[in-house]
Amino acid sequence: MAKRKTVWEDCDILVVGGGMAGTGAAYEARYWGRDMRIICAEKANIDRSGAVAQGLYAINCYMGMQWDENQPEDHVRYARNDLMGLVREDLAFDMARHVDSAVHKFEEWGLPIMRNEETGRYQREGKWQIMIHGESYKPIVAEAARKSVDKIYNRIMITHLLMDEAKENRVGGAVGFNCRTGDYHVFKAKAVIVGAGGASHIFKPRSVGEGMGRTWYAPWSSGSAYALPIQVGAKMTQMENRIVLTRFKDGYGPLVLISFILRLILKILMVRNMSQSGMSIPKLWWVSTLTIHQHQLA
Amino acid sequence: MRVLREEEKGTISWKIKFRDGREKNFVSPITTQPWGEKIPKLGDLEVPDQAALDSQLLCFEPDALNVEKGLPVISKDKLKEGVYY
Repeated sequence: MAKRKTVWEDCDILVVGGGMAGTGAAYEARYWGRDMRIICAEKANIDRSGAVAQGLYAINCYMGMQWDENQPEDHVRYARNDLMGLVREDLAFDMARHVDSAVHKFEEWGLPIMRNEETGRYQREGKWQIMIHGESYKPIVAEAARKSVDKIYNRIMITHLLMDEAKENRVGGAVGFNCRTGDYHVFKAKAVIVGAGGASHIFKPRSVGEGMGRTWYAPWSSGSAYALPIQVGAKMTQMENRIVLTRFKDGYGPLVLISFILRLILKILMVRNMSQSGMSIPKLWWVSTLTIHQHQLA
Repeated sequence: MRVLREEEKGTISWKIKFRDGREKNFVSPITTQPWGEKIPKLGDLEVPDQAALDSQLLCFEPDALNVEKGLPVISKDKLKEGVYY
């Protein structure tokens, strides 16, 4: 076997995954940690990676609190009903109350959001959705991340989190490899944000013909957002709901904004908690949002 | 048919030439701003104080919410736990 290089990197905050969650988390991390060394590692290239890579035509969750269209309580009620009660209401509420400000920032950065000509408000497509011209949704958010981090590592697939030898039950970094060169990468970090992908292809729809083996969610989602924390003992909650998609689309994910927002919030809370109180990831509840929100948006 | 994505113009466009000679042009906006310019360089802003770090706000909140009451809050007893209707 040819000899492979090992590349070392030290940082304050490591963001694993450069999809909408990871790039958003990197931006948010810089907002709070302005003098920190922040690194983002992504298995593809952040400009076109994750489930929003090819763009979206809508943002699937916007409260419209500024026009009193919906309030966070409405969203909690909707989520509880849709999931037959299997929902953490506090998390649903928290996600809902923060979503509007993220959407406003996207528009400020340049994301074209359609307006209703009569009301001047965002054009609704349903109770929760607003319509956008979203071909460059991901590149716009990637640009925000690029401006915020110290370094982006593209083509690095993170496979394991590392535990800190000096402190019990605390994550101290991550390891992975370069998909193109095979080089081994070791990241040492004071805090790690897992913004990796959910999973498709775990439960296969029984589609036949053209749809066989295909999925509605991004097919390149390997489930590492679940695997990485589980390997180091994190507890997962809100995993009672799963969705098997009996129809397929073109491998793009219209659910990702939500997933992004909630993950961003949670991961940022983790970073902030960890940097302030020295708590470790396994002690914080680990929430995976994917299945739930897929369900809400399906 | 080919797709032209132009960040400077903020558009993505398609031209379709049919064999019978007809041509169709489609254009769609990809951004409303000069590329990347409206994204602030957060590292240049002042370091937030401890009170800001301890707050429940996310970046640029409460201003970015664009509501007078600020970030909505709810009391814990209003939240339901577990499965019931």
